[in-house]
Amino acid sequence: MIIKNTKYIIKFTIFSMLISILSCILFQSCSPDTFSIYLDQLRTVHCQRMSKDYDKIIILEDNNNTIEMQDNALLSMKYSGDTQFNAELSLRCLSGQSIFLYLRTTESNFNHEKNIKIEINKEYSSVMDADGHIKRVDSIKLLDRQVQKLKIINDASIYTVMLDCDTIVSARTKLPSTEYLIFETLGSFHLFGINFDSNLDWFMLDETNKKS
Amino acid sequence: MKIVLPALLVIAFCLSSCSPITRTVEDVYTKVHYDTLTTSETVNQPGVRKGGVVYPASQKVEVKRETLLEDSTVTMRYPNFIRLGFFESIGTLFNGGGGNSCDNGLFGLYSLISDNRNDKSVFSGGIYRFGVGEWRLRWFHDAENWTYGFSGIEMLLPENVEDKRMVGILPFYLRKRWYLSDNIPYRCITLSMGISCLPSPYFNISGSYDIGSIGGLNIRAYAGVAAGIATDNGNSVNYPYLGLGCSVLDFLNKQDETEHVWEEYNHSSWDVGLIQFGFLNTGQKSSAFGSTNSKYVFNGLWIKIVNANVALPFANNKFYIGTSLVSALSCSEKESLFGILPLRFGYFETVLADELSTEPFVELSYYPFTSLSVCNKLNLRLNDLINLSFLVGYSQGSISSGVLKGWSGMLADEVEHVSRFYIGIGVGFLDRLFLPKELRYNRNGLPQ
Repeated sequence: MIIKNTKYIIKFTIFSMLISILSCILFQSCSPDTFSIYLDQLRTVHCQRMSKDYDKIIILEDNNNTIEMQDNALLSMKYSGDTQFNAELSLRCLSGQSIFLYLRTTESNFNHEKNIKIEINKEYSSVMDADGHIKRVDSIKLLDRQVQKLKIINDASIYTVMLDCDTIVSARTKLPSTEYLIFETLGSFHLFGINFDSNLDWFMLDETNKKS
Repeated sequence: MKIVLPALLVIAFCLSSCSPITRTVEDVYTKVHYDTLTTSETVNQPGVRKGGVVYPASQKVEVKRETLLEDSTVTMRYPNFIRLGFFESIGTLFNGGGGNSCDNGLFGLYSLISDNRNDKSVFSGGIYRFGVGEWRLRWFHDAENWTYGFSGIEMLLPENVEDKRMVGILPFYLRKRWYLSDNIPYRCITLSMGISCLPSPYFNISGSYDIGSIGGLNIRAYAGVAAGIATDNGNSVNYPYLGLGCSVLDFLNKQDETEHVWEEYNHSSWDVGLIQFGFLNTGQKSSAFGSTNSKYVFNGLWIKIVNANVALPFANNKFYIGTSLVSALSCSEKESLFGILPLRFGYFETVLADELSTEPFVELSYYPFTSLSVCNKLNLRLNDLINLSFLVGYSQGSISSGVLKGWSGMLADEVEHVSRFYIGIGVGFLDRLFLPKELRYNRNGLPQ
């Protein structure tokens, strides 16, 4: 009788442990601040809602590759493990004035100063690096409700940002490359057609031998 | 197979990258190094050259440019838990009307020592939790301060009758906290809802006013109701309770503390640990180990289980107040002192390069022995988990009346008054001595 009871207790104990552990795994996986964009079977972009109000960043149901960022939203995109990349995405300004793009920074050490900050607004585009130097381009600007193609190239010490076919900046920096792009909005924006490609293979061949 | 599969699941959970204690984030930074090598070589043509004729340059210049990318991976480790605790004990006031008091005493701890029961005792029941873990629950649009978690083992004793004892293995709890203070030790009101499946199915709903944690110490005032089926005989049990509890080695993080790396973690104590023990020379012929052979150097024993010495924020933060779950001293075969939650007041001074420190202290124990100890402990910190110590001290005390009678068979020959000088050595295991720079009071620019 005692042995039979012991067996039951062991079985039920294991069952109870299983229920608790599975509950914990279930709750642990519930992280509303993170989501992933699967580009293909190998490439994933990990996104984190950095603004406290998660509702300001919405993944649109019709396409997981379309994100709506509302006013004062902060979003990081991490192309995991790769710092040398070409990123392309389309953006559409639904309302508001500006979108900010931060390069050469990380989500955990993010602040608004020690990085490369690119502002694209309806009147001009501007670039501010860690030393505070500002470049302003009046001819490249945000167009209301139109789709514009944003291209970012992280290429060793050179970073290039293009809007449609116009180059906002292509410059050299001493800041180390990172895996992150961080977007901040003053207004409502759609980001879609997000694609990241590694340019490391190409870069490794970039060894120039000049003979004269 | 029925056991192997769950066991594998448990192992998989423990080994999963989603560690219950530490969350790890890795960021890669790539630095760029450019290297340009210019080689110049001049080869003069042999023979005689005619003047007035332009020849190809005899200097060859080769420029070789290389770019080196150097990846630097930065690993950051963050605390991943809201609460992680070793032991919690609650003394409860109502006993379900049965009149069989556990006589649990303050915080429900005294019944662990004495079998002597007083049915008029104020704290007639108890709730005990071993191994408490809580993690952030991100629901209701990531509403703040919700947690889920479980205790390793939980015991609910409405009174001193086994018929009414409810035991839960890994009971599941949901908790919501409302913080009343942002400073350590936090003050908050907690609502908790728990359910246990086995061996006793029961639920336990309670509200509590919590103070802590500081140095892993917490004090809680509870009001709640528990209902379920007793473990031993299947009787239904339900009772409301009011209780006063304490917990040790029980660390509570606010949600934003989990977003700072471990290096920035707030430490308020000079010492927090699981166990300290050692051997003493008390100059007695008989030994605490049962031998009467006086040739052995050590004939006494000291042990402290679950220690916390919390720094006091004045006089360079070197004074501390502390306690242990159990502090015991055995001077010879028949001379022993021990106390539950003794009060300790001391001074912590670093002697040599952080690792060597001295710690004079006074320890007052009030239950089950009334005793006073004056000691100095010299600590050698080996690493975060282990340290060695050299102890010199004097203790005197006597047994409090009315306790330990339940152990009369075992302790019949005990001397009821002890007064001894001693000298000894010891080891702190899973016991962390903090460096002065690690104390939150001594840090600048980090979260307090």
